[in-house]
Amino acid sequence: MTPEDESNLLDAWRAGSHEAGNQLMRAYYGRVLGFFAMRAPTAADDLTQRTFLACVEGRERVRESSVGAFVFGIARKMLLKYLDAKRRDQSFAIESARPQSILSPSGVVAQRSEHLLLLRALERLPDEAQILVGMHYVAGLRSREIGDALGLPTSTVTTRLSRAREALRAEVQSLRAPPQARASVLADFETWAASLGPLITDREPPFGGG
Amino acid sequence: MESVSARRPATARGLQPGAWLDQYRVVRRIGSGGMAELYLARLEGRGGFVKPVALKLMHTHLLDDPAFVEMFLREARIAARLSHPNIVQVLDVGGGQADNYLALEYVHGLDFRQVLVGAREDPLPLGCVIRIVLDVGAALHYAHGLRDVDGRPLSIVHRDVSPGNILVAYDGAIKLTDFGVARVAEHTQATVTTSLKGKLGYMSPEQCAQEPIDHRSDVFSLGVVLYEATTMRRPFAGEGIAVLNAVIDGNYPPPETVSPGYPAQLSSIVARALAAEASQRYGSAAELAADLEAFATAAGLDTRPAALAAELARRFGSPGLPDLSVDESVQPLRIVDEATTVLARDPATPKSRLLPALALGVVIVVTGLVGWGLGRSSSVEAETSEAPAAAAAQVDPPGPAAVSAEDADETGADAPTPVEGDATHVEIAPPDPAVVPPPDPIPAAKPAASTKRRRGRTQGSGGRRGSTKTSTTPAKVDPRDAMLPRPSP
Repeated sequence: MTPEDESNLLDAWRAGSHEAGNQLMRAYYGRVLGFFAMRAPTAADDLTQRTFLACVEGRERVRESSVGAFVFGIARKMLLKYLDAKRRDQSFAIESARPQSILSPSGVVAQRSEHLLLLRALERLPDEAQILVGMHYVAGLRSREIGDALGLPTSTVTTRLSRAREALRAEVQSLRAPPQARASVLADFETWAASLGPLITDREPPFGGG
Repeated sequence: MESVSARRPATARGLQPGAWLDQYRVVRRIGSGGMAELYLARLEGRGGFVKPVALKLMHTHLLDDPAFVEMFLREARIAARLSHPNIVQVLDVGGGQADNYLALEYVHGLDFRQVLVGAREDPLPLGCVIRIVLDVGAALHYAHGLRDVDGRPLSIVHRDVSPGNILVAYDGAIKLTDFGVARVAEHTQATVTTSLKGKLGYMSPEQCAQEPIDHRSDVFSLGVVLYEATTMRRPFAGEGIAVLNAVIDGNYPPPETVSPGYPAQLSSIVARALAAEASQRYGSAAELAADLEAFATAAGLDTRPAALAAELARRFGSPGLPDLSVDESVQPLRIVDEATTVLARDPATPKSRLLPALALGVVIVVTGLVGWGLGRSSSVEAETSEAPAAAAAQVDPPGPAAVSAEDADETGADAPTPVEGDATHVEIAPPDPAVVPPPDPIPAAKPAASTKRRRGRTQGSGGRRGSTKTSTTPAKVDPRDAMLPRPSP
């Protein structure tokens, strides 16, 4: 979907077209789910649904440069709220009895060792750094869109993303992992990181297209 | 002999009560998972001889996937070498290119996970827990030390030791099952791990890090079971990747911090079993068992199987043996969905098929045999809820289908949760140049594209992912059936 198409759909959605809203949500469903699954696999489906509900309710307030910035701005808040609640309430652990979408057969059937290493390294980063990396590599947002989603200048996003990337590389270097997987990731970090997105966002939305 | 071409959904064989598979007659379906279905069946012989067995049938949509077929048959090969009172026996291997099944020893009882579910409100006596761990330790020590005919170590590693794979018979007997992900590293001292398969939260640090593993990996997993059964929570709780990192880092709360009054000696045993570095761990399951025995003796605990049996009777009563009668009016097979061929035999002309075993050079003897088990399962309800209504109606046998608590875990949020944490099965493929070109550099799209291809194939042929993910129907558990090993996903 081109930015122009997205802009037109957004206008139509604001004007009351459910079909336009559906098309937009379908376009973002897999990426939003992957964004959550990366960090909260047991709650990813639920958080995704909540995010889209919030998007529908708040569509009149879209100010960001793109629908992606709008959607992931909400998704970020949802994720932080979830993580915070989980840390405060130990009973949340019960939720994890459900299949975990990233690793379980019901989610990604198989991953490469390199992907596993990257995901393990990512898990060690602070929440905001994980979100930044997730928005960039998993959701595929541009720095300007991320800036809109986070309420930050583009230059700040660029700087933080660069730091997060370096932190990620450092984790990859220090993690206990097969040497060949580590060498492979470090030799072409950007390609491997970019391949995380399609890996965990290839999910069809449960709702129809009409 | 009657040959029936049956059309069935990819994850459901649709074997009706009364259907024959060689000399085994289906009583009813017990459960189903991503890799296989499980049926209660009866072995019939002369003079009214009837013996209950469990049949594990590989899903037809996986038969064209060499990796799954190999995993399925590997279990039989490994089990063929094992004969131990604490290991579920594989009685037979049947089928051929169009079908694969294993006939398993029927164990009358529950799996340990189900026992733990009930123990959340009413903890098991410590002596009973230790009895169970001791017997699993004995099974592992036996398997770990097995040698081939030339005296060379087979280096068997179970790789999936968890409560769901520990069967607890009502008479107090303990049996380890599911060697489905085990590997035999013949003529080597260590098993080189080329893939990550097991249950999240029970895998050892070396498994999680995809390093070479040996028998001490199983010692770690048994340590997790010991921790869980004595504290009623898993040591490595969390979500997804976080669990892997916690295991590798050895990051878990000491048992005395989550269970006040936890015996210091037992805590030391747990700590040594859960050492992140294998070199710091017990050198064998027998060493762990020896320390546990010493602790139990010093503490005056009753670890007799009879005490465990009495405790189980108090909790679960004395369930009768399963009803092996079948409805004679039911046709052996019905046409349900995708065409796959199942041979249904007239009971008057049974003919045994041991093709896979023969092909693999495995001699299956009726008397002494092998044990294996099944890993993950989803519930029957989870599958049938996605199948066409008509198909589902034809597939399911009469009566409530029962699955284990472990099965239920993959059915959704409503499934029973024995303790905090998760035991999600994981399956991570190793680097595979044939699947994904190594980054040299890799075009960005290649890893993703290849992943899609693999996933698409699986989905398209049966919806492995979907069949276990979408249902929120809680699984029913029938203690009489729960002893049967479960299908692996």
